[in-house]
Amino acid sequence: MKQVLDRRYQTRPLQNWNKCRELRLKYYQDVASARQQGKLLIGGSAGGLSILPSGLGNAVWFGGETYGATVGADPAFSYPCMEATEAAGLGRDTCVYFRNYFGSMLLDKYYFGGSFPKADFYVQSHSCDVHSKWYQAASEHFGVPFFGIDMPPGPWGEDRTEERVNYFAGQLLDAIDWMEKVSGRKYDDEKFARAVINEWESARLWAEICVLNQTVPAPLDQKSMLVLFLPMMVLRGTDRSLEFYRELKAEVEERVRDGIAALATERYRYLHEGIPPWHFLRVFRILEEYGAVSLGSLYMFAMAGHWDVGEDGVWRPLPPFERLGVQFKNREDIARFYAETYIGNINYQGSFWSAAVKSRQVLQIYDQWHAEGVVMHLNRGCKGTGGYMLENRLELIKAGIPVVAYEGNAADRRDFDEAQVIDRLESFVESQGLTKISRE
Amino acid sequence: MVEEKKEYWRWTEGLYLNKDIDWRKAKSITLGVDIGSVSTQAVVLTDGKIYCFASIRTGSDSPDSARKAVESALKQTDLKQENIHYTVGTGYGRVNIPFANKTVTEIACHARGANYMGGPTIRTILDMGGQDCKAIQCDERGKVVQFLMNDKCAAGTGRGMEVIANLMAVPITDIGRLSFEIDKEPPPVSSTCVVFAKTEAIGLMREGWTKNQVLAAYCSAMAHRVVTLLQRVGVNKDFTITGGIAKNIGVTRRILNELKVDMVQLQPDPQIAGGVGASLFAADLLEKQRKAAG
Repeated sequence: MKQVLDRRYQTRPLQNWNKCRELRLKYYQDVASARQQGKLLIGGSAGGLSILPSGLGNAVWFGGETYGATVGADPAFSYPCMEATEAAGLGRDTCVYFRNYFGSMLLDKYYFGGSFPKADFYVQSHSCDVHSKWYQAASEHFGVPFFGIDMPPGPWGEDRTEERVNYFAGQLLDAIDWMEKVSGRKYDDEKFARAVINEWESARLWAEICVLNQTVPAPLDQKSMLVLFLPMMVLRGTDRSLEFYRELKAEVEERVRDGIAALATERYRYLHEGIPPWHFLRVFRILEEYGAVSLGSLYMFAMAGHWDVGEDGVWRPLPPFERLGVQFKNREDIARFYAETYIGNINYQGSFWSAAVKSRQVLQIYDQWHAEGVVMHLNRGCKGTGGYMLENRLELIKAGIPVVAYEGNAADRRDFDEAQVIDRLESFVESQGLTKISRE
Repeated sequence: MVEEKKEYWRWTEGLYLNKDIDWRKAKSITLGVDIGSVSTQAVVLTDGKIYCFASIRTGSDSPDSARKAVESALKQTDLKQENIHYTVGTGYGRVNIPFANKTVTEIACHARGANYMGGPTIRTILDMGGQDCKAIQCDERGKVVQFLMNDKCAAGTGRGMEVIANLMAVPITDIGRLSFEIDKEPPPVSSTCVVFAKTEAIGLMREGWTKNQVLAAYCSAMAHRVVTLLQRVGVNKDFTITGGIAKNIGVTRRILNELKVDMVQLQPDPQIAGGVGASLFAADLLEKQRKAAG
């Protein structure tokens, strides 16, 4: 029987854990049953512009990436999907979330049971190299309308020029007119405004929750956080999402106050950079056996959080909406605010556009979160978030930071060598002076 | 050219016993078992000295391979497994050793073993294993400072050399020597891919290359591949090579030529470094256990 030695901190399960899982399951059931419930089903990128159709009321957004990740976590379901996509002529180096989603669609098999949900229409921004065509291809498959929005790239506030904001906001307004036409529904600006504020608040709260993980011992571990950030990806802008993050933040604050650790044996803190291998989240548990806790990553903090990264480089959550002094007078105001938010604050896109920006971000997070090492997943399934990893590794090494990189794929188990990965990670933590805490 | 029926890849399994040691007088008897993808070693240390070992081919069943290696090592002596005080497992199959008290990664074990066998001046170790290569830097105690592993590819590994032995119908133990029986060093083959090796070898023979030239080109390509791995981690003196390929002079000499360094030859067998390291860790853990027990 295993005994746990060196238990330094108190720990307890998260009260909001089950609630998060229920929200997730309910969401995927809603996707499947939207039509029976008389709701619109609108397809597009998870997160992304998912709140844009909220003004239509009574709609469900079916986000592709989270679904692709869910499928990829189950190789038995995922392999036939990816093979179907590849047989359709799409290369194995295409986005792995896309391959899982698209194959599931081609096979007409929904992971949560039944046929693959057919959206009424698709709205999509071009925020990465694959998004631009992904949902266009899906719309062509089902013969339903598609609206593409060209989102200006750029990770930092300095890219938020007037021209860019106008360009983006103008397209959002065009998309709203288009959605009214294809859905036959009148667009309610109050609902749009509410969703925009909800999204701002939820993303800001997520950032605050991430900041709480700077505490020693860390109140949350990354494996759990990867589930906890899901409502932000699939229920963006909803009341349910905002309520969840308010409750979660209160709980995490309580854990910090009471000194409750995610890992009772915490004695080493690291960042796990890059999208994780969803089919092998055990990667985090393996290192926990050595007392190593993963605090988060640029990907996880920035994908779901709204941050103010000032000139000093410090990551701070953005202030509450009510403190911004923003008043919406009309739809144009809402669209402009939304456009400004997106162009200025999507920090995860640093990993898309610049090796130097991404290195700076990781180094900053490393310092602020009191990490002692970095584990990097060289994710072959995403060209965007997987970009510049080896350049980042060199920068970290130059800064004297212990770093190990392992090769894999976020949602394609075929690109993952379990034995080698375990070997690499265990060797890394052993080289950091750690030994397994549990023993027979 | 290719005689498929004969198993040219079969390398000689090794056995060793130090008859000068009386295990009954030993206060500490520890076992290290290193289960790799190609070979398995069982090494017994008595009071920190190598008493006996066996190095055998790994079978399809890891626990069985571990048992066979231990049986082979122990059948040279009247020492029984129940007399062993502590066992550490290492290698890819380490989690499948039913009688191991603890597991340690083979990177840590190779560094520790090389430090023991080659002395405390060893700083860089190249472990050329059955299915991967690791460039390791360690301190004077054999503790890993940093390491790099090759990517998911069998090129430049023991398994790759086994495939070439069969392809060229040359016993694996002769490859190194024959690779130098050439007039002029040929350029390295463009690919060291195990899967494409056959196609490439046939192509070279058609172009008029001799068998020894092809072997030289493969050894050279393999050496070059690991040299780039070593250069990424940095090569500090003293340098040594562990693993089965350490016995192939066709590869090792070319590595040394390219790096312009000498290597410390590990005795009695560089292939057992991981097992020795595991047994040394077992000795440490035994001491800790005894201290804790008072």
